[in-house]
Amino acid sequence: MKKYIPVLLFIFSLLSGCKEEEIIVPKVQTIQSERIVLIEDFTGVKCPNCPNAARQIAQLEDLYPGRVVAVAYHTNFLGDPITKPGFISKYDFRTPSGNQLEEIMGFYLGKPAVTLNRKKYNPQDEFLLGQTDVLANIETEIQSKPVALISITNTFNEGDRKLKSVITITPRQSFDGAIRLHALVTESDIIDPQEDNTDYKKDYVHNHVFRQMLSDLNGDALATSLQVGTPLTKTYEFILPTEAGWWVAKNCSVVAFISDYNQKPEINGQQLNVGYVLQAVQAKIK
Amino acid sequence: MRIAILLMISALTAPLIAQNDNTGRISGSFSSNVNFFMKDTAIHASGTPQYEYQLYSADTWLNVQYNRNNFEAGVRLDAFNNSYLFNPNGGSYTAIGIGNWFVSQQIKNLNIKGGYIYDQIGSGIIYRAYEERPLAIDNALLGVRLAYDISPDWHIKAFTGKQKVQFDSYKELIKGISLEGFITKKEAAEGTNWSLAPGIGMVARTLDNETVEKVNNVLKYYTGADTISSYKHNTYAFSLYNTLSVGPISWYVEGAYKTPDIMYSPLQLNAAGNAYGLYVHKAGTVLYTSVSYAKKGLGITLEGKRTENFSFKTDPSLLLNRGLINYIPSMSRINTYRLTSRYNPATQFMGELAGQLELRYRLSDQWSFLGNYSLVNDLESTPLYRELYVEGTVKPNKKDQLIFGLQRQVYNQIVYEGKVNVPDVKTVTPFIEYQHKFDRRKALRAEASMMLTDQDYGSWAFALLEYTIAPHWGFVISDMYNYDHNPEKTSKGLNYPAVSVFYNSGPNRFSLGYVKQVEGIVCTGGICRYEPAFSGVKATINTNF
Repeated sequence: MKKYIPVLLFIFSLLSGCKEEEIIVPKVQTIQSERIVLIEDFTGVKCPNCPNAARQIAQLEDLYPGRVVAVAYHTNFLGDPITKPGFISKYDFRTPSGNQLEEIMGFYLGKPAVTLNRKKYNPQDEFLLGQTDVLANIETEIQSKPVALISITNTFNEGDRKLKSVITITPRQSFDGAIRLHALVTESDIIDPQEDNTDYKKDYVHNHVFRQMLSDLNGDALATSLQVGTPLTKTYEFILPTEAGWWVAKNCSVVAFISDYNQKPEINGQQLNVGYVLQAVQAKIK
Repeated sequence: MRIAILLMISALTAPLIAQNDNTGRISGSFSSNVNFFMKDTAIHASGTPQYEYQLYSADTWLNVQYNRNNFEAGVRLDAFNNSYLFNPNGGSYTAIGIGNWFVSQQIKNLNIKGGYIYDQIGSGIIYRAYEERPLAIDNALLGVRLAYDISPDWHIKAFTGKQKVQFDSYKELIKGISLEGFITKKEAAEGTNWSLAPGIGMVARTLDNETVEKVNNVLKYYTGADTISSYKHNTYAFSLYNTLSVGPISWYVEGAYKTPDIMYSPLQLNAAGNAYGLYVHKAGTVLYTSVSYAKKGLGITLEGKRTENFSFKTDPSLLLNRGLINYIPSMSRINTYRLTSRYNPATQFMGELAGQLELRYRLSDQWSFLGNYSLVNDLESTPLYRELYVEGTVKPNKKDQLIFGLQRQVYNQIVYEGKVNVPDVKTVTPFIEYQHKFDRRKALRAEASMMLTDQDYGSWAFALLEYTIAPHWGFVISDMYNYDHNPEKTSKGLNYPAVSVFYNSGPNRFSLGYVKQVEGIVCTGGICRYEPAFSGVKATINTNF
């Protein structure tokens, strides 16, 4: 046995003794771009880790000003209102459309569950809704050239609380696909309890909360091709419910994005019924 | 894939003959778990595809092995229909394929194995590839292993490959080597024997470029004191271990070190002080020891463990039980009764200090006793888990056996279940089990327990009756009742009944049962996962051939 010791030591030194180049972590890039990405965050008031994702999204909005549009869907899993005395939820942020969209997107391993542009970036990913794809791909997405620019013109009547939203899509390049337009209303600055890491926060500020679809949940069919010089327009109207702590008009925004249903993500050999988001935009309603 | 199919065909078409070196032997097993879902919103068994419209799921494994002389080959077919095994929170996974295959050839002192390989080094602290189906763990290494017998008492092995994930593999490369031996000496004059079983091992994990890019894209957003500016592709884990046996005493000790590694630490507070959970870049250590004494009806086991920064994953960004390379033993008793096993302390890979003492004493042929105490703290000495378990067994005659006991637990739900602002769960659980054999064929087992607690769901009562008619039939009826429910957790106390029938015929076992099961955490050996509530019918088929 002793005669093998030098051999073994040699093998161990071979395997572990080599010097290797270190990986240098890169810096955040400053990007000049017209591309605006969509981050959708499936969250809940009883999800203690979800505020971490919300803070991360806020950081991305600061780092890439004007390039990020976020929507937070509160759904059934960890999304039912808090009933703990002293922190009882005033609002139930869950919506049937949010729950339906979560099911369309194929669920997730745990919350927070986030998607960037409704695209599955890693073939090995088991879920579209994950926790790492946003940061891993956001710079690449923002650096890409958009197929179109989107503008929103909102008119809001204080009297009857009627919102009229005119959405204009201006193609920047020719593009063929199954293009759909999605439009929805979000609300920010809603104060209500939230589980936050190890504690309950009574006056937590909820931002980008999904409130209402203006289009169909799966988008409205827009075109099969985009041509430069041929803008497309669609108008939506919606009467905001009475303000009662929420539905505060000045805190509401219209989010619009176009997606291509010829580019559907595939999970476990099955295509999910969502399309890759080509461009997004948001505008306050007043 | 083609190799695996050829193996399966040749294994299935070869003749079934009793052990004969010239013609070979086929063996195998079949296991299937089938669920039929019945929605019950009261216990939150709802809102997933299985409850809403699929109504059925099945997980099936068919294993076939062929042995001839020094050659061995095996293949396993895995089939999942609407399975929630990999994601109980509403996931639905359907796929069928070869989940495992291997070939192995012994050439004198050398064994060569290729395919999906299960193995471990020492107690598994630096490397363990294993399968634990209820936890959806199957991290076999798809690669090659060489094992060589240097002498009858010294063995060396080396392996390399990629870790399995369902029908695919992760991109990271894992390689390892270990040397184990056995030294024994008999002291003729004193009449004592002693033996040593030393071992040394090393495992290396190499991150692939895609994973590096993924990790970099998270790290680059870290600021201030959280910043990690650089790290390495390769992480190395080393382990030195030994078992010393002297007479009735056996002492196992293992020390492990891991070079600085990128790990996700769920309890690490960020520099801003407003969020837990971020990547850290640190070296890790584990020290584990176990001493046992067994003689004349007395058995004593004392274990201790200190773990720091020893999360070792194929890909640092993988969540929960995915991508585990290693296995660190849990420092708590494996409880078998329904209520005593409700709260289990999952191994904290990033830091814990734990110990366990167990005493077994057989007073006579009729009476025996068991006492167990375990404790777990984090590295700042915050208590995470305490358990005191005492049990007595009495066998007044050949037909009767009575087991009675008491368990006391203190369990940190914030750390173990990620719950927010909740107190430690403190439980007192008395239990009793009675078995009576009417004759050689018929037997009855009755079990009753109560969990007294003011936390979590509140107090529970559990009762079970099992009647067996050997060799074929078994009938079980049980109920778990939240008789003193905690109104902060649930609006009313609910019943969770279960009725099952078992049928055994030789190696075949069938079962069918109607089950309502409360949500909880399922653990095996310190590795745990969330299990949602279940309502419906479960059927299982298991056989060996």
